[in-house]
Amino acid sequence: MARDPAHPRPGFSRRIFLGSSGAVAAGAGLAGGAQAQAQQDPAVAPEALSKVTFTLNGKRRTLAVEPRTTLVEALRDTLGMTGTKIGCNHGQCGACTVLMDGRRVNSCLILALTTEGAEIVTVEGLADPGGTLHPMQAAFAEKDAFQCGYCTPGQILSAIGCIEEGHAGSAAEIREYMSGNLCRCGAYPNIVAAIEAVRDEQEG
Amino acid sequence: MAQTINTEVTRTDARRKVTGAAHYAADFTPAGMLHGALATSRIAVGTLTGIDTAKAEAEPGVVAVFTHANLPDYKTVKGIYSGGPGSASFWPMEGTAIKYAGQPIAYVVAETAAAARRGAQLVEASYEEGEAHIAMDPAQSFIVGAEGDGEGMTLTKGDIAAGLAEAAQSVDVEYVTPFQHHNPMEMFAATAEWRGDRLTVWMPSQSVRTLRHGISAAYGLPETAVRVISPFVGGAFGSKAGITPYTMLTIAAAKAVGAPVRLIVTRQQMYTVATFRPESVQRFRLGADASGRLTAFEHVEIAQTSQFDEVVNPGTHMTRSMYASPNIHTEQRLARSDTNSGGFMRAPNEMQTFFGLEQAMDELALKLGMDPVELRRVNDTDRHPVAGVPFSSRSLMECFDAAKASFGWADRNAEPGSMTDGDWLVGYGCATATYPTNISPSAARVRMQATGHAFVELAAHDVGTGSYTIMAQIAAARLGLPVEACDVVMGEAHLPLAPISGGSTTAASAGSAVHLACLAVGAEVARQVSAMSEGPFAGVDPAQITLEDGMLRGPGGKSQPLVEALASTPRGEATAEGQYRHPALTDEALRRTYQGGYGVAGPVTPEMAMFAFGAEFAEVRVHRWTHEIRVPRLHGAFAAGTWLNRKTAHSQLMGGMVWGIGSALLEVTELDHTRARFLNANIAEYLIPVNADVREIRVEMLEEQDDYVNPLGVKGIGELGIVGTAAAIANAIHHATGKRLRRLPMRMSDLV
Repeated sequence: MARDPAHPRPGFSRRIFLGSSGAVAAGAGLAGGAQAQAQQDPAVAPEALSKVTFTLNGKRRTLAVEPRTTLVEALRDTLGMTGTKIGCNHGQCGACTVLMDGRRVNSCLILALTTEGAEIVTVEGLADPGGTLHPMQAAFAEKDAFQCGYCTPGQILSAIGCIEEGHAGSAAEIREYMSGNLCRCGAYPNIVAAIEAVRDEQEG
Repeated sequence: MAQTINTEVTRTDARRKVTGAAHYAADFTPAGMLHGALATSRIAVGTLTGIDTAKAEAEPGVVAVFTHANLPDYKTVKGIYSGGPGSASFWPMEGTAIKYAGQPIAYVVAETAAAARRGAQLVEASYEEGEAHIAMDPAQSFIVGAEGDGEGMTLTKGDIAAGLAEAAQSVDVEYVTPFQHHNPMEMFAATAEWRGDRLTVWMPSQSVRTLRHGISAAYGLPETAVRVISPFVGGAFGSKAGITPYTMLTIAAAKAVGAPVRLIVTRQQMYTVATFRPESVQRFRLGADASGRLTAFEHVEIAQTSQFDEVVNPGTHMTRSMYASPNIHTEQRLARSDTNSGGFMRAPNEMQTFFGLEQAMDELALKLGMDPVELRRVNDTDRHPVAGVPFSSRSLMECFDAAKASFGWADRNAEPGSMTDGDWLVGYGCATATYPTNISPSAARVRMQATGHAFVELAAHDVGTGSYTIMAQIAAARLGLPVEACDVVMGEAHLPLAPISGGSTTAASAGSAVHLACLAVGAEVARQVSAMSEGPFAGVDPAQITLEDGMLRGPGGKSQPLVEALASTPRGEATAEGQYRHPALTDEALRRTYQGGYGVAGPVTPEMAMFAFGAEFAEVRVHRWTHEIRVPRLHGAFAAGTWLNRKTAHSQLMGGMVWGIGSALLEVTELDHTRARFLNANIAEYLIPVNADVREIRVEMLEEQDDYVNPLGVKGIGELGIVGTAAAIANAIHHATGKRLRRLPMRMSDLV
């Protein structure tokens, strides 16, 4: 079918605004907002933004986001921290699991503005500054507790939560309390083995 | 030098994957990037009579809304099953025709993902709705393609009627398998950035070269102008191979708005904008003499296809390769319905057909009063039943004997319903697994440095399979380096050719190319050191120097570590490419592969039949009162030539068996017959196995040597694990309850 080249493309003027907003990631490559000082949604009119302050992996962060922005979008798009993955955006798969005040939550179901004052831990915050892996990260690597690795950040945070909640008493209990984190590659037996290894290490 | 092959090696990308540093396609954000979102059709068949984008355009943050009326033109390409690089041959938004529910009708570009999504919700469309059928009608089925052995879609050998007439026992049974969706954890995504006439696309892909080929054809660009980047893929299973409409639309939108655009397809939309496993009916007629030898083998498969592609996944080619029989008849049939085109989903030809075949064998064994394992033994064959050529290796019964022992099959009381544990009915079942060894042409480049490091470069993919790791292991073994010193670069179309990561081809094919590239590095270093005035190989004919496990060896017992020899050369670096081609590969298949398609040698060549084998055993427990079905134990034994990495191979086979649990008990895309839609298009109501569904899985990996398949002796294992699982579980359910369930998934309601 012939297309109408003259069809207007309304809203193109917004590109002018986009060009003048300061927080656009500089240079191609990985989402680069993380280095910027004032973290705010790029390309959104300032009057549409609200501020929120939380502690992320031990550091206080203040963001300006739209009210509809979810925590996972704030992490990935506003802060450029892409370790947290989106698998469904509906709280069905657990890929976006982070720890919020020590509890595991689906960050796609949390509005960023509701995290005021909260302590958030993501996969980027687990290894120590020297690069030594958290025991759960090391156990996942050693036990081959993943294949494609996409659900892995969520699985690892959920696994840490599972032990801290006291739900890692047996393999059966671990399986039950890790069932909110889907793994399509089918690494479940190795995930259970990794959690048991860390639990035993901690108890030992 | 430590052994690096046939050992357990932790993934070289493990650290990146556990720290969040592994970057998947949607983790790349070019500067100034905008966000895309799709609006899709509510109806399945009909015509778009109007589309109102005013509200969407007025939404704050929305930059542009594209429909069929204003989308920039590109040349569409054919679908994979029609010989092209596309996921389907029908391209939405080319006109007003609607051919399936969930077909893209508009593409919204906005400054944030949330604004794009909101904009897509605000697109209003009106339709003239036609009659639509989502389920196929097997009575309307037809045959595609030629008759005969090899690739023939029908085959007759001997006389089925005569074979059934002389049989002591026979079965005539039908099995039904549903639509299923791959549901990789990573959602489909595409990011496109134009810089003049050069284009970069970041996209999770199991075939970067197929994408590049399709994109360059669509825009008339040379392939050198199109970069396709996909370093990590969050699961694929067949869903990320062809170039899809959402990719093409994203590229077109980026061109129109003059900025990079990223689309993340919603989980719901993933059910309609790409492929799936088509539903099927499997009919088997088997006859056997009193000793169990097959006298007749007939298999007719009817599978669903769309109105615009003929999606043939020839499962009958696999079943007719399995057991000896003098009389064989197979037919590969299709029936159309109003969906997008299906495709290949993990074990595309085998999952559904072996759910049928391996239950039919179990039903036959019961009629004969034979142990099901012994029925397989009686019909085992060292020659391909149709082609007559020998199997290059076939360890089927070794697998059965190993798994039988580890499982404790001897404890089984053959009488159905005879084994109980409290209120649980206990059943044991088994089934054969097989997968063809498809060998694709492949290339790789290795750059070795005197510091003892090497780059290994090829356009292969790691879709979770462990490819990064095994390529490093192969290079390490050949070059005499530690695995960590071999840096593997993959997932870019501009790298040397590697096949689609599908059909379990990568390890065998691309691995062989890495092997050859390393030998070529050895030859290059040999040339250099032989031309030098001093050193152990000075003046030696380079043709007399070979590379063996990191050592250069020449006449008279001369030897030197390769890295040492390299260090003695002035350049201190050697680069070489390996081009692998199985001797049985045709020129046509070679050409097809280099044009972004799928060209393989095998599984049946003029000399040999190449297949991997396995045996799977399941314990099933069915609750006497609730009929709840549980699978506390699955044991599989597999033989697939050389094991490269026992850790990642174990994970692949185990993962395949978990997929088998899903197919057996959980997975079905439910159909809305009145509106021709997929009903449970999300990952909460489309059930996949969760951690609590998976109990003991034991995987045994048998040693097998096969010098014919490729220089490494490797067969593929990506799909092998799933093939026998559903039938083993079905047979165990029958053993537990006496009820034969011939439809997937098998649910408690089927036992009431």
